[in-house]
Amino acid sequence: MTKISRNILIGRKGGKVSSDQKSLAARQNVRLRWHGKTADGVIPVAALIDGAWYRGKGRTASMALWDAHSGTFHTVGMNTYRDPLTFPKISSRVTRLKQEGHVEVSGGSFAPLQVLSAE
Amino acid sequence: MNAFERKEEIHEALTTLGKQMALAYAGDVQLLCCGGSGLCVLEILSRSTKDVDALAFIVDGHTLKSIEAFSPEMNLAILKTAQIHGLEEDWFNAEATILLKHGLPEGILERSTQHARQYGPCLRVQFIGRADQVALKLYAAMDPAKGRRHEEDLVAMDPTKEEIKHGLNWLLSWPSNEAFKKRLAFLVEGLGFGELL
Repeated sequence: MTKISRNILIGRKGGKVSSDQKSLAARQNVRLRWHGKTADGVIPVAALIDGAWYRGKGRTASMALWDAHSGTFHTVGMNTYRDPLTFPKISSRVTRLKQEGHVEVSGGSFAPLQVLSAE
Repeated sequence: MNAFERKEEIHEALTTLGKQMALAYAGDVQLLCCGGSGLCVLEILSRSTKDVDALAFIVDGHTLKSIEAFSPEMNLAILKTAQIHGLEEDWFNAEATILLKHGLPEGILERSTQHARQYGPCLRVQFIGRADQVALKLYAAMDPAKGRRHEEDLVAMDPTKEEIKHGLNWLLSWPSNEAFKKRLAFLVEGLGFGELL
């Protein structure tokens, strides 16, 4: 990256500095070259990285940890119960670890769209 | 297994649970159950589910009691069943018992007897009926932040006018504020049953 004046930078942000994030993104890109995203932009099971967090669309959460060993996503799901008298105030909430299968698998409900970080 | 794909798998897990409870001398337990497993057993929805939601203890066959905790023997049986079938440790849980706070639809227990099954000498499970599943889903869909998935479930359940009316009557029987009634009306109208309002 070249600094041509006090406020203007030219080149890729981050330059040559390596980071875990960049390395993970590179690993993901390599896999996506072989197993491309679906038309909906969903990352297929074959391209998922074990132990990585994914942003996506799921029943219980929009972020999930991919566990290749058990072939499932782990999410933190919240069930919220609203008080009818003081609605929409929350009367109670239960937070639990949940699991969701990949959408391409029968009965699955999590569609990973972007890798976020590794464990 | 890791998830229930078919109703037979739910029956298998509950049969194992019943056996393990007998081996652990857990005593007789009768439960009212709901949630995704109920939808699967009644063949209302085909999506997979990872757990069985216990709603209440059935005492003397006709009284519902909220579940403070399962007995240590039953907890042990739940854990052993999880190990045998490759399920999560909390696959059989009582999170839904919170719904008893406001009261359940009238006659829910009587209707559930049509979906009752004995699993070994200790465990009897009754899944709530279709109309009550719709009613509980309607309440779950009331959540303005996370209700979307329940709305989608409701649409997939393809409820009849009578079932929505049943749910509506139940929710309107609670003391509630204007915001609650407004949200309920919005939901019912969105489902195409505006004439019920």
